[in-house]
Amino acid sequence: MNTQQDNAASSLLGMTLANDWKVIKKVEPKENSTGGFFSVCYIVNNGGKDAFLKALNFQAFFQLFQGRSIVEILTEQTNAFKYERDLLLRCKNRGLSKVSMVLDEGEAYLENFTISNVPYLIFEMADGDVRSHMNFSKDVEIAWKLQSLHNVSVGLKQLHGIEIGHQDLKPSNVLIYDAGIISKIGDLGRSLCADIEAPHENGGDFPGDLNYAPPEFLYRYIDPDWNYRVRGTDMYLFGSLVVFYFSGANMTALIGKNLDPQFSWNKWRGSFADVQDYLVDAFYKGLKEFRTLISNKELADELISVIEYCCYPIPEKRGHKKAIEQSTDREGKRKENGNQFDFQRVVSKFDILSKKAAYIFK
Amino acid sequence: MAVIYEIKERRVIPNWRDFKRTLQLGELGTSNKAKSPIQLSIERSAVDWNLNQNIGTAADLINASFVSGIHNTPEINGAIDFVLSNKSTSSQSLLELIENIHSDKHQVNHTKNSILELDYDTVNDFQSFINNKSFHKVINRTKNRAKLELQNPVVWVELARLYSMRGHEAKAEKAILTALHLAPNNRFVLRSATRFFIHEDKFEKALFYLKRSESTKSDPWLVSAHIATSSILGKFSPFIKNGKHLLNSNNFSDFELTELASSVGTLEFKDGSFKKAKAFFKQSMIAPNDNSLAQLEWVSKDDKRFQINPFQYENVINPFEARALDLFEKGQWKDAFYNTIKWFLDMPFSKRPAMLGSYISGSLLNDKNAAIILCEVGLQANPHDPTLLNNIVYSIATSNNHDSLDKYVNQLLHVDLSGLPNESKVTLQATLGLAALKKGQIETGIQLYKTAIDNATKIRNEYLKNLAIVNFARELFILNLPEKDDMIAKVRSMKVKDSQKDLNLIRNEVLEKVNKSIGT
Repeated sequence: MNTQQDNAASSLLGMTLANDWKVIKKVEPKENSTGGFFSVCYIVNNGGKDAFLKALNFQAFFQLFQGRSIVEILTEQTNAFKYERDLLLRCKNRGLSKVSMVLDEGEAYLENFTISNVPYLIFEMADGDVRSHMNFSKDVEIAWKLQSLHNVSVGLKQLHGIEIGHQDLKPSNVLIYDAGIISKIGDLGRSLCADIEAPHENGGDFPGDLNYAPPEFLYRYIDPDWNYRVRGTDMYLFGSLVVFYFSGANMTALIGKNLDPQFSWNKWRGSFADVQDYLVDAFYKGLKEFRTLISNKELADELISVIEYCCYPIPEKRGHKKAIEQSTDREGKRKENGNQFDFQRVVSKFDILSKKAAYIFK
Repeated sequence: MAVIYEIKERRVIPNWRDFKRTLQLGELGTSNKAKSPIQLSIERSAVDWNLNQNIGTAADLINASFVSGIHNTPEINGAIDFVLSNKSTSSQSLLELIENIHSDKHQVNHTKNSILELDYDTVNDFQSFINNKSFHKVINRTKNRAKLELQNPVVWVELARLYSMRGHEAKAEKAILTALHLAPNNRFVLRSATRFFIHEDKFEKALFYLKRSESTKSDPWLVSAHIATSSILGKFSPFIKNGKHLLNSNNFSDFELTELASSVGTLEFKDGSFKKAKAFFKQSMIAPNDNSLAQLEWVSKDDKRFQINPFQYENVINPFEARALDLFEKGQWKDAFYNTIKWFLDMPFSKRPAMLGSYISGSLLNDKNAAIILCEVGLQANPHDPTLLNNIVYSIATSNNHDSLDKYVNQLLHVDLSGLPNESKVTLQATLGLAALKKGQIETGIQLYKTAIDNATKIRNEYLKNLAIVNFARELFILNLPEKDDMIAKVRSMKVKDSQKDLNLIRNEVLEKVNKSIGT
């Protein structure tokens, strides 16, 4: 038996799993890794709607990192799987409506494989991610975009409410349901949780896709305060997503585009503190550029005001002005229970904007 | 009295340009060898693109390509082709990202040695600088931008620079203080602020903000600024020791150290240590900028043991000051004058290029019009500057059109002489004497000239004394006053050093005029 054949995770097709889940189709993986663990994906059904199954694929990891200790790999992958599963179950138990829902989880057992156990997670089936719905031309699908962004902001607020920071919010992780009517946040594989240590915690490094990262991480700056770092990162990623919806560029790219090449994270050898003021200058130039992409002045003003406080390149000054005032003392020091990155204002703003969209922002 | 131009002291004070040109000059970069940039990957976006090709996944991959700096893979090229073939669903920003990836703008090199906001080839073109009605629009636009970008220190610095160019000192200070509040440790802000405060004679403020900054101790550009500013005040900078350490640390490029080496070299030079000064100046000239080049040019005029030909440093961008000083010293007035124009255009708030340029054109090239224009432009940024007022009065008085003579004489009369050096007082007395003679106030004019000559004698400044005598003699001759013979005799008998090319030129012109009239 070769390694491909000796892969229990790849051999679930046709099986009936616990709770009568029938594995009816194997699908191409969305990515090599969904972040925490390697997976093989299937369509499953237990009599109702189709659902999406992600099976933990130990074998992929063995192939990719030959020579590494099997104990290490099993521990690492199992921990990653368990971590994501625990977060998803927490979301399910707390009834988070705008986070992709896990329907079931379990472990299949297949005989005649070196590793016979296949842990899996079953999710509600999405139509795809938001990228397949995108049209970046001026003034197109504004109402849909605002509604989707409202959903995402609600999802982030819900996650923060149960002490989870997503940390990898990007277009591919915004999933579409009901023919585009509802957007939900997917893939908690790189998320961080205040009370469960993540296997990918790694000293505060950015756990998500660095091509979407807030600029401070690209210059190796890490805010030592976990709470501020994690929430501030999600706030930036949300603002960046707004920029992507309307421009096709994320905020990090837009800043980079307006930044002199000598300050680029690909070249800069100094500290973040030394470059941050130039990022602010590039950021404002990016906002000016963003303004030209939206015809309706009121909408442009509203969006820019949200993006400005969500994506401000200096993390200490990120967040709504009033939230910063409320969460810091007179000397500018952070209060213990302050929340500089509360999403309520963003949720309310996109709620209003999406309602206005139908009759104003045509 | 003739217009006088003299640089008594020069220090390596940071030059202040707009942000864009400062970037182009490379003075904001860093080459800290201890830190390496982060490495990024496009793998996740490339896999997605291969699985599902649409405008969203294409945009995703193009973003990843741009942010990571990874270009030219089959997947990226495919995504770019897809977007270019589907422009109707794309955006201008996405198309521009593609342009950036294609042109690989990160590889741009600057090969020019002149980077100016505006460039003029003739003095008449330069005149448009005075009458530039669009300038207030530029200020308004920048003011509005600053209001929109309240947290952007770069815009506040630019606003301060524009205000400085028009002599709005209070507004400029407010803007620079805002920038310092927003970015107290930023090199661009601190260097600009240092130059601004020194321009306004607020040296202590410049030192305060430099010393307060956390960056100063480790940034050679700022250490240099602190040493140079302290030196103007005759103070000992606490950063000297650290500065010398930075010069030997091997952590910076030669270009990053050029001003610091020059500042420390100047200190050693002023302390009389030729050997040490020479070593530091040598280090500063490995990769000089316009400022360190001009500094050594100035030092070389003061002490002939230092030799420099600024034209040999072809890679230095905007070397106008050094070249103007060098050409002036060599007596190449016309070329020196055009370099002062470029120098002024490089830093339009600065008075020194306007002083030197107006002196050259008014006294040495006999181009009164050019001198007046330069003074007028210089006075926009420095409306009460006694030297510029002196120079414009002199140029108008010695021209054929005295229409605005009273206006500037009145301004000159309001100058507070108490804080001026004796040399300046002599100059102003002589110039006011000249103006009085031109206005027919003969007795007053003669008295003022005589006072200037007496005072020059008292302060033992032979050069100034001779210059006053030559000018006085010329005016007496033109007016055909009885005192002329005595003064012309003094002109004939005076001994002028060969190195005083400007005085020689003016003296010869006067004698030529006199000799011509008497047919000798």
